[in-house]
Amino acid sequence: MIGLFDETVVRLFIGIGGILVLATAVAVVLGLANRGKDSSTLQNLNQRIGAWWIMAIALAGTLLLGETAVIVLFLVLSFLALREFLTIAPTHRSDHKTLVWLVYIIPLINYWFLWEHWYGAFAVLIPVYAFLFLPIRNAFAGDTSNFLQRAALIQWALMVCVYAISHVPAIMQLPVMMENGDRKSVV
Amino acid sequence: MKQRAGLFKRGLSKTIITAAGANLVAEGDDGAPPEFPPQAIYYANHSSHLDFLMLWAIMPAELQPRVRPIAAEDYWGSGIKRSIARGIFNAHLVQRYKDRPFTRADARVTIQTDSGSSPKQNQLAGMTKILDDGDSLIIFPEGTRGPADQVATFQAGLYRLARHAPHLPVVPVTLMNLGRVLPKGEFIPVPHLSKVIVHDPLFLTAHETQDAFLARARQVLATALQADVPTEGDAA
Repeated sequence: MIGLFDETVVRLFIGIGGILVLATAVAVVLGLANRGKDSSTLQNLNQRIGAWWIMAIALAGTLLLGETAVIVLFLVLSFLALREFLTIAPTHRSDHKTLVWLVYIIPLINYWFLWEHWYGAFAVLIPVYAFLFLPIRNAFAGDTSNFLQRAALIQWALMVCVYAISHVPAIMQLPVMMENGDRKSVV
Repeated sequence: MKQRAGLFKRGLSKTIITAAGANLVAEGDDGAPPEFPPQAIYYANHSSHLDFLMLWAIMPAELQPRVRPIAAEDYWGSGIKRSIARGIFNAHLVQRYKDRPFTRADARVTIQTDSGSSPKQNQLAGMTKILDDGDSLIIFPEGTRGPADQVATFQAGLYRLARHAPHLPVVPVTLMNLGRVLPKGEFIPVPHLSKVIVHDPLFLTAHETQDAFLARARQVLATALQADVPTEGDAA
């Protein structure tokens, strides 16, 4: 076993690799059959297959590197997801300082608890403490317009982009927790 | 030497933009790659310190050394800010208000007044000289930073410059979301996906009045911003 790559993961990636090879082969055949034609559908298909290769290789690479690498990968993914979310979400000018907490501080604490295998703290940090703290911080901005809407939007950004995503690496620790409970309390 | 300075500036502006979490997407009017005339008067909406950096960073390398941003002397004219503006980005500093420092109250008044508040003649003299020397200008005709999704009334300088050199293209540039990444008065940027749209150039026609030209120029930016900004309380 290298990093988190055990027998099950190897079998999983053989399966994923097989499907990707098949998909690539299909795309090559389609490309040959439609040679000379400028097909945007085919181009789109090739881009998607390329993206899937990159995702599979990135995930395999971080799994080989071990748990810390996987947690860092998902921290980065949370960050990118927050950026997308905030771009389309109608945040207000006076939310800015709260957004700084949302983007830079709370995700770091969340993933740090995960890295520590401190499951109890990880489970309550966002839905209890962060959900209380962020509206309080936002109240200090002194802007009452649409306050509940703005508070809810920021909380939901955190729930979707950080709490939910961080449960992917959290589930990898599930066997540890099933056996030992919270590792922090065992040690 | 000059080339190395260019590389340094390119690297610096890319680094700042990446650190700010803004990704660079630049396009022309129809989503095509943006086109930059060799010499032009660029103007853009102004809502963030990142505005100029972003606009500068998307320009072709060979044009960058010949583009001069116009910055406010009362804000950028002292200490480290001066060395950044003058030394690194070759900014041309102008005085917004001659007799006293520019205040927040002035900024509010600027937003409320109609178009055509006249710039000081010596402000323009420096800028017309830059154009006469064959360099391009980047100006923010609102005169100060405003909210991300709005365009304030333009100052008259843009018209005066276009009148001075009517053969030069006046290129509207819409900067999206940068005012949300780093709004006025904030120091820590919050990442948003942002976009720069380089519109088709405008040309001042022979008999166009100042008000008509400024309104036309402003409308290009206002329309582009309206099309893209999420509105608060959509359902309500």
